[in-house]
Amino acid sequence: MSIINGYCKSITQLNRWLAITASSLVFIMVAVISFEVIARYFFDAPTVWALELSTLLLGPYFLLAGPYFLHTAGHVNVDILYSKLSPRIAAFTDLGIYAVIVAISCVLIYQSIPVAQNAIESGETSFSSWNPPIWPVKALIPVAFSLLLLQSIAEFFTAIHRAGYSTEAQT
Amino acid sequence: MSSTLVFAAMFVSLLLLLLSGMPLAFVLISLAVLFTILLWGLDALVLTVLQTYDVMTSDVLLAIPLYVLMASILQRSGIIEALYKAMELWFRRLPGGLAVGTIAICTVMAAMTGIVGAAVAAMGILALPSMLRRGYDEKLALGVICAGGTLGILIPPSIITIVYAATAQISVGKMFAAGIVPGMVLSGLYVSYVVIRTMLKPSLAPAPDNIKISWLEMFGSLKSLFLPTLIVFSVLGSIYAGIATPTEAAAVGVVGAMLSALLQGQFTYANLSDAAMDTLRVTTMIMWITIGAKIFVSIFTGTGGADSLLMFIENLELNRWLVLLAMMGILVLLGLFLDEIGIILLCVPVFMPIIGAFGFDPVWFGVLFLITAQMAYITPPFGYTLFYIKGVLPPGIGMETVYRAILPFLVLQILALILFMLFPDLVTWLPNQLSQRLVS
Repeated sequence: MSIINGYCKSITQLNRWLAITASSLVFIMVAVISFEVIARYFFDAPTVWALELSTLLLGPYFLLAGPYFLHTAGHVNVDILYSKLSPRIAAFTDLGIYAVIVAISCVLIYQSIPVAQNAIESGETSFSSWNPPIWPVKALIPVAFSLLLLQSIAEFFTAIHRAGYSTEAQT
Repeated sequence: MSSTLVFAAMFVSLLLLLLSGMPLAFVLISLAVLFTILLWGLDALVLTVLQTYDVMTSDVLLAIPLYVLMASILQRSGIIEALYKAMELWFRRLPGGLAVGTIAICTVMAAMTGIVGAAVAAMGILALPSMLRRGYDEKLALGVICAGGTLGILIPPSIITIVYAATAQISVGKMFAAGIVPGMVLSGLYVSYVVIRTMLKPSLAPAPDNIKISWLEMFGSLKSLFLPTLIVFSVLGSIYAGIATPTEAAAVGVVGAMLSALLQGQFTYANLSDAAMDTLRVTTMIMWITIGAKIFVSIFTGTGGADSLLMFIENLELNRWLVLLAMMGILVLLGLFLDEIGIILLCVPVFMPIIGAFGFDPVWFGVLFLITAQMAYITPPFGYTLFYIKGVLPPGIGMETVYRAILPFLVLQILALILFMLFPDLVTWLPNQLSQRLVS
């Protein structure tokens, strides 16, 4: 039990840390885009890289934070029925929900690895006038879905614990 | 499988799975995965990765975290409190003054920020206790806060407008411009309602208190207007003076919000990191839903569902206004179950060909949709505004009071909707005037 507990804690800790790190990326976007506006409007010297760089940061920004918000219930849902369930039924419903998320994470990892591999092997770039490498962004997709898999497994274990706990409480 | 059957199966399973309490983003992704396998087999699943990558690199959606950050910083900057204080000083002698002032502040906040929560939360904390303490009718007080708070959906900048423009593939700047006149009309309708109501029934809003306040203090309070005005003009101004795209203007707005926080002495590490985390949460939620909805919709269009739906409707040879009403009806109905962002992402790609075929303007349709979204925000069971207001209700006032409070404002919104349906020029004139000036 303590191994599972430790697993849940460390995965949540890892994903929280990633979310906090990702949250600071928005300030880089603000700085880069403001620089572009000033350079273009006041100095008539538009850059080729500012907008593209900020756009490349958008993916890591929200993709890496997704797993953590699964833990904090930050994704919007419809709770009209769910909120009326008893703790035990709610725990069993959660079991089902996280099992589905585990399954789709596996599908998405399996599908995104070849795409990422292709991009890495060819050293894919964007072919714009700035032409930055874009393989890191593609490589990030399987990484983010793996983190989602690890977090949903952790949430699944927590739901088992809750289901078991509320059964004991009733007997 | 025929596409109509697929369509029905997808929407029924969507609603059923949603009721389990599973987050919308994952409901959409799992159904999309399931239907892709059923329809096209495992190999077609690469579609999910391509759509994910597409969302990750959208320069229009890049505006979302920037506008949310701007709102989150402003919310913590103290300028809303300062604005409210000034409004109280100036409006307290007017009949129903605080209620009118609350709508005025909601309008200003709508023009500063793109999210609805900011205005409702702030007014729920500042304006509600202040109005109740002075003996304002609780329904009037709650109604103006709920209705005023949703103005942010229509008045630019607005996150929902950005998502609509991105999905309908029209210019965000044009769509922003289209919201200005309708937003002002709605705000004006709310103000007129409050003034007429309180003149007919003075007991709703009590006589003003007679504390003497010096002119110096009165005019001193006006300096709180300076920063909001500056922010509104720098963001909207840079878009319509052709200096910046809506995404770039958002970054300018964030810098403006940071300067305001600095001037108010609220530019602290704690405020900034709280704002950053809030921004990340809202953006992540929207973007994951976008991924799910894009995969989901691409299956529907991939099976030829959108084409056959269009053919089906054209064959019915209905009056075009009936078609429009049917589409609005579907949007209102879905508003009872689904998040507005989800509704846009799911319906707009399906509706766009129909709108085109019947000769409707997508910008105008967008504004009509945004008004129905405002209605959805203040009506149970899934009104976002209601969740915010629930958190700040004083003891003794139940949600039933809130439901009754929003009724007159709901009627006003319906009136506005009919008005803009009958007179499309009210909506399209300004964007057509301004659209030549936009940076593309």
